[in-house]
Amino acid sequence: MKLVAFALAPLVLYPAAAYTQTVTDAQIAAIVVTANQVDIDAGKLAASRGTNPEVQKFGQQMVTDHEGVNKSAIDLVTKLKVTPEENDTSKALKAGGDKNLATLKALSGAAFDKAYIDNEVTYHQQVLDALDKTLIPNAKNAELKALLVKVRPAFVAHLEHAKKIQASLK
Amino acid sequence: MRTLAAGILALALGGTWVTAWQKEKPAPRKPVTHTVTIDATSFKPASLTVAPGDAVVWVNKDIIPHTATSAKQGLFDSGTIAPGKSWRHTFKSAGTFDYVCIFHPTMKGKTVVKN
Repeated sequence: MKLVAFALAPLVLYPAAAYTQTVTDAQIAAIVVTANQVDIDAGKLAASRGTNPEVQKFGQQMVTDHEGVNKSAIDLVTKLKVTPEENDTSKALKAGGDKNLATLKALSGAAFDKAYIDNEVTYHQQVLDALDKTLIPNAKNAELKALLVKVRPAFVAHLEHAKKIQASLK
Repeated sequence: MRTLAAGILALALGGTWVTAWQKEKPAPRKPVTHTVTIDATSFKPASLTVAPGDAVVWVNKDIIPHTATSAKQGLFDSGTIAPGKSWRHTFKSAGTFDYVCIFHPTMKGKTVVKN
């Protein structure tokens, strides 16, 4: 838990209260589902409000990919009879996502594109850190761990893609 | 008469030679279908060697959509291959064909076509 909070802290600026629990599979499930949902919501906004065609396409792809990951995650935890359990990290992710949406909704044009892509770069880097330092090492169920390992390269690809767009916007 | 006999002999010999040549020529190779599995945002195998006329089927076993798109524009493009779906392409001529997934720039593959 400590590591999750640490890894995600720059994203959500969450207070020290998060540094207390252990990370169970039920909590990992909630973190994964929330992390994906946050990026789906931002992607939907970028697909409609983005100006640069690459930004719009990237937003739409984030919706598609993260919905795909969430469908698999939800199917798996349903099969495993694990109920995703809200926790400080998942709540912090949700709060960070809501804050990002509020910021983006106040922007338009090139400023929107830049803010969205900048956040996507940061977000994917932080989710990768959380996957590597906390979620994958702590996942107890083998299938849950395998799913996290399977989706990791997609997050790497998203990060690289976002960085390319970021560089092209400058 | 002599000329006719020589002509018949020549035809016969020629026929024999042609038959022998045809026998030595290898039978046309039956095209093979190869499979590239798309999983965990990667192509497996990343490099595949096939013969001209062979087909490659990309099977998406991942949980997100991908493409197999020629790096050199316009040679081939699967378009979106949804999870659980596949796409087939026949490589007619020799060469090295690099391809990517247009959605995921980290995904790179190669088909080497040679006799």
